[in-house]
Amino acid sequence: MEAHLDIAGVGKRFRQTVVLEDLSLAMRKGEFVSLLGPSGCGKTTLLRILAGLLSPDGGRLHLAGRDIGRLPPHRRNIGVVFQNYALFPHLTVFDNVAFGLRARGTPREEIAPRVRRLLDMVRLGPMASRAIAQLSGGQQQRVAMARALAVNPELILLDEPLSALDRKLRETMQVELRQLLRELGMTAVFVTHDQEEALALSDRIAVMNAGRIEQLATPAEIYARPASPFVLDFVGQSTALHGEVVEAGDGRLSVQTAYGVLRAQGHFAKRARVLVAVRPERIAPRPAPDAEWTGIDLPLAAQTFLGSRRLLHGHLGGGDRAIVELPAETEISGDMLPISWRITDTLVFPAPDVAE
Amino acid sequence: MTRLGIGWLAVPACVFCLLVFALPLALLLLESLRDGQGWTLDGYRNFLGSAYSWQVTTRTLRLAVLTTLICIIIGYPAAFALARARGVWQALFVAALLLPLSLSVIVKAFGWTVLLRSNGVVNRLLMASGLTDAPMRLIFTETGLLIGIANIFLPFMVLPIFSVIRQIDPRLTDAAATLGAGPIHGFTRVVVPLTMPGVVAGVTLVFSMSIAAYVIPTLLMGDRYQTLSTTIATSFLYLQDPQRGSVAGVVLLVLSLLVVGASVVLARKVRATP
Repeated sequence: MEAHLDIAGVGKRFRQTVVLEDLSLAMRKGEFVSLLGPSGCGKTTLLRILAGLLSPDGGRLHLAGRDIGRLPPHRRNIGVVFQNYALFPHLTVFDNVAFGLRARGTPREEIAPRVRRLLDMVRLGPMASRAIAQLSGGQQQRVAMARALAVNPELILLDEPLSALDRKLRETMQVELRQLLRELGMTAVFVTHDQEEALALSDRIAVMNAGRIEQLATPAEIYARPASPFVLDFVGQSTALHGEVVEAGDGRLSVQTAYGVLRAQGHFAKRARVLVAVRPERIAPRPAPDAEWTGIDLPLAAQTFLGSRRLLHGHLGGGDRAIVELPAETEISGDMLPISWRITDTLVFPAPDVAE
Repeated sequence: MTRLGIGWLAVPACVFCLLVFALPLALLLLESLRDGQGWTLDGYRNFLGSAYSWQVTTRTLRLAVLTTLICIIIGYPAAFALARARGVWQALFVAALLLPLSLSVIVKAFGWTVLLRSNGVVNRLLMASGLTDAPMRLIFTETGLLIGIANIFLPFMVLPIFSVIRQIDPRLTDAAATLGAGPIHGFTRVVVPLTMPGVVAGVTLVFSMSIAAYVIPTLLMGDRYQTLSTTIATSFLYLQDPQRGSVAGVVLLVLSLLVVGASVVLARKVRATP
């Protein structure tokens, strides 16, 4: 099947700095893809390039079979929900939502019913004649959604649309947003630096770093099988220990770390420098019971109680870190805790350069 | 401190405004309703009944309206250029706009009499560029007056519009574009409405200053070009007719308020047009 949105080899540099490097990404119709990364990773630049607000140095953009690479923003038929919304302060809620329809010369008699339907959809029907300044943050966010959807775009771009809201409201809005876009079958690109938000909303996540996509996969896969130490570190928490391969063969590894020899799976040469990692909820608070498990004795530094869970933080040096997630009722005492996990749950990466 | 306590702090300013602004206006109004014998509307009757007064009033109004229009036409794009200029350029432009304000109006008006002479810089430029063969008569003509007065009042149009443009979120035009608005639609429906407060401020300043201008018309047109301001001056200074002067003063004030009020209403309309 042909991709609905096809980004091929897009690059962008500002003076000497490479902001996007030969980036490609294809999306199905109706798919929700998050661009997740720290600030400065190029995710907002990519969004602006898609919207036509910034021109790339090279590459091609196709949307619904149309080459949009050279079209100005007003011909692309892409809706954008801006960070802080960029609502028109001089217009009412109704006129904000109607703006795109009027700009396209939609007949007057079609505008009112369409705007009303969208306002009902975002539950702002009674607010139609309000001024923007009279609305709360969450309401403004919904106006911005309705405004972007009113023109029935082929693609909607969301630039951290929830970041200005407080935590409770943000979680409610996440659910609403996802439901609304799914009902409309809307293809969406969602820019965020909040990994929880990306995990909760996305069909697929593109984890970006330094102008490149480090990994493009489903949320479950990103979490369970991070493609690089950067993804491991940026999405979710993890225990990560540096070490050297001391035995290798048959897809099985033994790695010497500062806290003992760990067994893992993977293909590395003997003497290779590697990073061994495991997710916190995969860890059990006991010594390895059999050959399917591997583990260390963990010096404990602190505990954090999170209601349903309890997090144990290890006291490690030399760039190593450890975090263990246990049910809240687990009683832990003492300074040392034997921990272990299944060999199949172990993640092994080539050790990142010391410079990083 | 209580709310009332803070409110008292405004008393000196209010008293000052009353004494310096409201009281003289009230006295002017009283003076216009009085002659040697007592209260009368004769002053207004005479003024409104005189063809000459009407001529002076329409001339004054035309001068102020044309000056304001010229300042908008030149000043509006200039304010955008100023807002878009970067770094040193912006500082230079602002300096070029502000420095003339530190000169007396009289000096500037004299400057224009020199520039507008038949062998002045303006005429030499016109002839050198081949636009005219012989020197144009500019000094003591309304064209010359408009060139001079518009130049002198232009900063008062540019600066308020400039300060409003600087506050407009550039993402608003991005948003308009992504919604399908071409550059012209986005400009007329988003940028122009949002600059209206600046335009109103500029119009208020330029209109009320040019309708009351005294020095510039006198120097660039001479005594025979009578405006409401010169009428006020001659009434008080030469004719010793305070009633006539006061009536002209009240008429000037009312016209000024009417036009400024109308510009506010018009701007609200533009702003609210979706």
